[in-house]
Amino acid sequence: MVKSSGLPNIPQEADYVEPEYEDIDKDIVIIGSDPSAVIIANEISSYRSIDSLLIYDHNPIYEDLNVKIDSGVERLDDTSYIGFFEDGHLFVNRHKRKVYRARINKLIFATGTRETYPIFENNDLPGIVSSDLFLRLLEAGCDIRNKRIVVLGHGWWGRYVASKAIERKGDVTILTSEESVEKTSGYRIVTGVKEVRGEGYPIIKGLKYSTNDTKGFVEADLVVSALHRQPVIEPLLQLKAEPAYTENLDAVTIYTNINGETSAKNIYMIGEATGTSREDLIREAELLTRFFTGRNSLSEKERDSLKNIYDRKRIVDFYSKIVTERPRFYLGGDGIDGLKFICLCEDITLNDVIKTYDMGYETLEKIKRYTALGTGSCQGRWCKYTALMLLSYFRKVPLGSLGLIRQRPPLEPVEIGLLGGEIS
Amino acid sequence: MRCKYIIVGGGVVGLSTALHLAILTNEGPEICVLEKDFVGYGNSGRNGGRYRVHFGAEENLRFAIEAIKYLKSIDKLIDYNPLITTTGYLWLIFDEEAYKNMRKHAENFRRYGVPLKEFSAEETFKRYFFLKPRKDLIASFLGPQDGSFHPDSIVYGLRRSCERRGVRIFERTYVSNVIIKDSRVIGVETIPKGFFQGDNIILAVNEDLKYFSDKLGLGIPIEPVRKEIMVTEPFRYTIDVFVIDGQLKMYFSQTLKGEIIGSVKTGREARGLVERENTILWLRYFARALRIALRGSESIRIMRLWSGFYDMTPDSSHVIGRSRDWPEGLYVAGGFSGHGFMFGPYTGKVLAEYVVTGKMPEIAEPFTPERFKTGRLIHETFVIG
Repeated sequence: MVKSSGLPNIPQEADYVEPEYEDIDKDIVIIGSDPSAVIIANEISSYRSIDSLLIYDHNPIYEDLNVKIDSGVERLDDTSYIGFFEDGHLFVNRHKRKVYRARINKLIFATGTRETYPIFENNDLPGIVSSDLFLRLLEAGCDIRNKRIVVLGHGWWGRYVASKAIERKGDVTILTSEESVEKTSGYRIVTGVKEVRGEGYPIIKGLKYSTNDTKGFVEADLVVSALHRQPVIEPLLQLKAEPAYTENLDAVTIYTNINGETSAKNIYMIGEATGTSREDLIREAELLTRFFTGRNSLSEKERDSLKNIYDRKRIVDFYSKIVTERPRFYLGGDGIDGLKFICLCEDITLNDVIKTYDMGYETLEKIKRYTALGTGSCQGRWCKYTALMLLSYFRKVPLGSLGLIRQRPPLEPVEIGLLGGEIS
Repeated sequence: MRCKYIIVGGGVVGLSTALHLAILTNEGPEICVLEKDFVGYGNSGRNGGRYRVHFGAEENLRFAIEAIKYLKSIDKLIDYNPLITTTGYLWLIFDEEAYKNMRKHAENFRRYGVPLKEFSAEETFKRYFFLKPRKDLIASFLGPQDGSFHPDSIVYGLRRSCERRGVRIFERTYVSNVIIKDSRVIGVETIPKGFFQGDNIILAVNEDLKYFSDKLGLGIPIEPVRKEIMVTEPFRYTIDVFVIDGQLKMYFSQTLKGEIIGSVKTGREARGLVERENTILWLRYFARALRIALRGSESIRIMRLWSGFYDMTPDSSHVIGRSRDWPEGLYVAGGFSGHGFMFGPYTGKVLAEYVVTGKMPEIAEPFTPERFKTGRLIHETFVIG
């Protein structure tokens, strides 16, 4: 029989262990992987009158900022936020098989950012990974000695990823669109890269690239993308907080005011996901803790400092923003055609998205229904922002006219067996 | 803005009515469709994408047979592939009462040329190997005539056909009131586009029919019941039939894309014009039910939840047409009680004929809102989910 699709079979029956359910009630819950989450949780936990909880997810991209969780902080580790429901917030811990239903007065998200999937010809080849995954692989002890690692991007985390790879004896080349860079050591660099193209089958063998005046080829065992970081905003979109655009990160975010308040009631967002620069992260969180605890009001100087940090995020209106500069995650050249995948779950290319828009499906919701963009396992976490920004860039339309795809629960796929315990 | 026909609601029913009015009158530009969000945003984009001819009441059975015949031919009308697939419905029967009842209906279905196939418990678990064997299954009944379609394709196809005939579709246009003067409709008030003048107003709305019925005193006894639904990550196409589990009060199947789609009845569904949210309660009920019913489901992951409304009437049957004591020019098509999409394209055809000719096609006569006054209700018991 010819197998017509690559989909897996429905799984085999497995032993079933009854999960444990618990109801929790908290004044403040802080969710995130950003160091701001830790700073706020440390401070709030010192107030006995506030019953707070930290749900922390370690992300190696923030490791160099070196914040430590105080021993007094009540925390749930290895726990995922599944989303808001009419009858509570849902959290699961897969290792302990625990499911929490929480009633929460104030929710503070410090969800940080994730690497955006880069868009160029043949970007679906196995062997192209995000900076986040690469750092996790290194943490897990992955051996990259003498492997040819090509890093895309020369921002702070491009250099950070390169330094980590060099520490582990990787053979590193950076490709960057920057025209000139300061002298570097330990790795090769190609500047002024305008377009790249994946080569190799069935896994990546290297990248063809072109600059203004040259063409070249760089061999690769692994391509690590460190081009653009996307704020993790899905929980906030689900809670109907208004989106915004940060010109500091050149990314879609959630509108927050200087105090971290979103447009949704009792929902706050802080940290890098709001557009805060990395060098401001710790200071901002320190100042904002005062606001969250309601004690020790800020001095005028501190207030100014907070305002300067806020201004540096360069928050602009989502509805009128048009992406005029080529997005950093896009290395696909001038043409929209070819196999430049935006949605990897459903194999939707840039060409599919733009052609569908041109046919009159003028919002992301309609493009989703016509092409199936964002209907796969990631539910648009990887593709909706890139589709939005590239449509705005190629068709010169405001982000607000395209809209986003409605975010629904669960915020990550969740197992039937974990939720399917007996109901008392 | 002025047009002869104003259709409130840009879902499958509204668009089909608009298209058939355009065909019958050849006056596409005289037809306006007013949609409060975007075309297909409401229950046309929230349903499970299934159709069946098998209904408990004879009125519905006759209507369904015609409606499904029509649904299957819709590709020719809309020049779009709606991915109609005859997969079958499988009813799992766990108690004697339900078994007797099903046998009785099966007799009726045979007379109408849509017979069911009956399988013993043993045969059922052998044939449908994906089901977890359960001791208390009595038998199962397969309706091989029933199946699935892709709702978005039908909605977008209808929309495109409407536009080709000049029908004017206004999205993000919320109708807040129907204006009546001298017992005649004269138009509708909208937000934000103001007044639309029109001679005929057709309410092709789902849960909002309650709003209009209350506001205009139409006396349609409608209660929106919120239903939640989910899809899992995709798997190789295995669960071809649409399984209706009488014991767990659950249905599930697989879409052509491979996702498992399903819902469960908790008995604690929110009623009225509530937000379209989801609940942990439902999620736990559903997960438990699927764990019991489907082999290997423990490690299957749920990918997306959403919700919509079953717009329930007292006899779980739809309402088409008008009542004699209503203002002139006012029509409704609604109250589908959970089987709106599958009846939608045909309902639009029937209603357009009625609006233009003033004569209700015989097959739809039992469904006029008059029945709530005369008490001639339909005895429908086949409501799934």
